[in-house]
Amino acid sequence: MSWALFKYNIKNNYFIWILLTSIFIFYFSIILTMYDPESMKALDEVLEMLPEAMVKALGFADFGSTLYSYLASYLYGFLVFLFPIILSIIINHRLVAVLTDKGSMAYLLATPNSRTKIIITQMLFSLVSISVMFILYTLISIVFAQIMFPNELDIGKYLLLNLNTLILYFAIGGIGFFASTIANDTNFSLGIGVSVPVLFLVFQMLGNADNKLSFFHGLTLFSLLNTEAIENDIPFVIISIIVSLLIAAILYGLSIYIFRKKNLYV
Amino acid sequence: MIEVNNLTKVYPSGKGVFNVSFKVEKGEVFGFLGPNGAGKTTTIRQLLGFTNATEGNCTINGLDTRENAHLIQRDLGYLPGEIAFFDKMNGHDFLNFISELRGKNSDIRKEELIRYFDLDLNHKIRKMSKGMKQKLGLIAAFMHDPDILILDEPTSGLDPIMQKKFIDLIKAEKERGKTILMSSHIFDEVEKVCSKAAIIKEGRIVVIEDIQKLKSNRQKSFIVNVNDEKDLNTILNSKLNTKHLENNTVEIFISDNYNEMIQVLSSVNVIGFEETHQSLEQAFIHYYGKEGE
Repeated sequence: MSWALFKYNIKNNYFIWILLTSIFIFYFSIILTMYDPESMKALDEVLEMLPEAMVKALGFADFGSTLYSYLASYLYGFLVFLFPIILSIIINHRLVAVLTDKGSMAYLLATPNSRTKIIITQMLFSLVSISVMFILYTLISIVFAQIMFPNELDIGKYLLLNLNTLILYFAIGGIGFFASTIANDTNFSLGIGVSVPVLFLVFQMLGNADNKLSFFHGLTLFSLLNTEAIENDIPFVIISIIVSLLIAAILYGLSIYIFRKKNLYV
Repeated sequence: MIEVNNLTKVYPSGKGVFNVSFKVEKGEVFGFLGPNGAGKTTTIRQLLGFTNATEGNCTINGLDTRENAHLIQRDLGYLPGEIAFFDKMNGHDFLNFISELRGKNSDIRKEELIRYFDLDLNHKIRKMSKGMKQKLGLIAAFMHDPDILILDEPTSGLDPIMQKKFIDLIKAEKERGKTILMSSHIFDEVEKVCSKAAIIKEGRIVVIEDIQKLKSNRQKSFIVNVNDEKDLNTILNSKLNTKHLENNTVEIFISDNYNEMIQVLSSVNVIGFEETHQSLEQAFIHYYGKEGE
């Protein structure tokens, strides 16, 4: 990989990265402060006043009785995907498609760096940027939870939940990276990079909303994250992680292959 | 050194380059001439290994340019035809970035070239004029002192003083034994520095020739104003190749028969005389005989 190019990516993306990571962590903190084991019923009552389908669509199904189940249902049904997806869409789009479309890729290729080296550098940045965001979020969220509700959070389960989520991001991010690589112009890259994950999100919400619509879960990658399985169905979690890794490997692998072969009209 | 072998690259639109072949020998400055859209950049992209040829191939130092681009790049300087830098950077950031991408000792001529082109690097590239960007591109292409230079429309955007400086730089590099391929749509520019040139039109090479020969065969034209209709008819009825433009104005085309023109003009009352600057297209349409072919 090219360290010079990696550094350029950092300079080019640090602002949006810091912004979205901060919002993500801030959002978590707010959700966390709303947790009160004594008054979970009160929260349930508030939610009962809202239309049931909407509450379910957002994944607020059953808050359970532990901090883990509260976070799992409040955050990991839907909202946990939002900020990392925005980040990965923007970054993946910039990593390849913007450079190709604007022609600056010509300057990278006119140096003694092979296409393989360039695309692998971009792939690593794509994976590292989302990983660092999520690892930082995980660590800070554990610290916050421990400070506010000492020993309430089952850290083992929580770490597994976040590992599962992160690996799933790799698969989702792979879609954006793939779109960015095969695109000859930025419209195509953004078109696919935004619409596919958003469609998955919509399916996820529809699947959540009503039992009759649960077949939508079969159409979205997000159903690979099952927060209940982490509590009682570890084999599902392992399969989910393997499937996510495979999807990510295929998408990133294809991206490398195509970038090496394609015509670059720069 | 640089070889283009039966290169065909067809775009989905049907345009492209067809069966293009030429060679640039070591130490040669080679002009690649053609009007806009003739296929110069398409050929150069292939020389840089950016695209896959439909047929044929290009080699530099015997290496296939598509397969071994990164090896070739070690000793190659490239100026893209369309300048697309990294907008957010300033000039310093950009040159540092490129030299870091290239690796050790790849900015040995940087300071010298910055002074030579008199460029202020403290501006954001986004805010630079076209001429400044062109200078920055030239510095990036030359700063690692490569043996081979491929320059796509190198003088576009430069003012006449900088064009002269560029020509001087190319002459100096030629003295130092560098191999240079430069594309242009301006004949005059190529004629000043190149020893050989290929002319491309609508994707096909029309001629590859020593520059001296191209020069002597090249038709020139002059616009002449005369006083009255009698003088006008004298010119039109002479053996010269002429074209009546308007009123008492006539265009005369010659190749090397200056004397003939001067003799005719000395017998009339000339009140205006100027050389036209032919576009390349006109120049080699004339070189190749009549328009329409």
